Amino acid sequence: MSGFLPWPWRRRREEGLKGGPRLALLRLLARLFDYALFGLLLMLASMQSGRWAFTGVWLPVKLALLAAPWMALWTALLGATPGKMLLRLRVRSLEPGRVGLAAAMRREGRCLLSGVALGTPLAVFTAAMAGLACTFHLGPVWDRRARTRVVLLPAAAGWPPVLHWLGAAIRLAVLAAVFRLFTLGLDPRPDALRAALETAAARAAALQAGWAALLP
Amino acid sequence: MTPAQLAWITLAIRASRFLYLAAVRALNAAQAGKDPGKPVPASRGRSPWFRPSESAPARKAERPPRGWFWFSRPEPPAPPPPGFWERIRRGWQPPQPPPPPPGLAERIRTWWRARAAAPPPQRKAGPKPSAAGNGRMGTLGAFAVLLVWLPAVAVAVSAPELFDRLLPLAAASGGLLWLMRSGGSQEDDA
Repeated sequence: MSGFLPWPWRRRREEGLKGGPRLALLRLLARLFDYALFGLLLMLASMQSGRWAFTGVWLPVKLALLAAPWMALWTALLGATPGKMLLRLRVRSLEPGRVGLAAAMRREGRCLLSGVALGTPLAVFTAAMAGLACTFHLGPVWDRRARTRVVLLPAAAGWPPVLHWLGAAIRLAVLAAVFRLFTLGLDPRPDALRAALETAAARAAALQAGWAALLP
Repeated sequence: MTPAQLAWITLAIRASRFLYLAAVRALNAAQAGKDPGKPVPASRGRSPWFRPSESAPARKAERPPRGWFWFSRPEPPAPPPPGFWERIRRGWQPPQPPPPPPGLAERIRTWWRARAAAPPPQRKAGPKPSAAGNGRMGTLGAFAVLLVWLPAVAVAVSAPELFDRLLPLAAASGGLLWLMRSGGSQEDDA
């Protein structure tokens, strides 16, 4: 289909998507994934230390506060957070050059200030505003203040579609696994999360043994 | 209700609607003696609950005129003044009503265009507020945030009660610092 697109449209498509409802939904999903992944890492660390405090109404606030520098670090070092990398999103600077640590930190701080740090009921409004702004190609307030922009990279050309579908399935599986483990960890006791992790480890070991048996 | 059940119900609704439309089309075609593959105008005889939805203009055309009720007919339009058609024939154009004021969307669009076209605010000429340069100060600040963040994560993982006690304290002190920050520069201090 892209072969029929005339010049400017085709070129714009190849540069990547910079706005629209699809990008807004993907950005929201990526941010939720980042929070879930960071919370999961905190849960794993606390399982080692034996303390467990991942309940209560203030948990989203604490998670958002603690995850902001973590996400800024990823953005400054690799240009995207893990969730954004999983969904093929990248943070780009409007000026030539890369997004530095200061700009990334300012971006995340502004994101916190815009309502994400106020807990889930109020962050819903922030998410709605950001989604609307992204839908109309404006970008949320933290992007505008930090002079950055999030783009959706086009899929790599030249691969058979089967591999694209396989990649999409793997990404979806990773997303679902992280969200599932995170929701398991929201239990007052870490037993469910520990059991799920042990099951996953057993499955991985069985898979590895199976592969090893297949090898000559 | 699980998401899977919701998806099944949605699928069932879509399928039943499709089947219903196909049946209506076949029935109409059988009554009119036509090819069922051709689109058939919507049947008007059925109950509105079982009639396929129509487009908005069609519904508007069949609506009675505005102001109509069974005991009150709408006022007929006033006849033109004497000599009106003569003047029209000579080339005179009746005065047009003024254009409607711009709507909210148009006003927002105009405001945003003006805002986007305006140049970005420039910093005043003179020495920078920080001798080291803003970029370096920003990086230093980011590293300072990281230096605070690492122990905060360690405390949150190893001693959640202490973290819960420290968080309001840190929030209060941060808010106080933000309130007390001055807008002065080096010239003011010197």
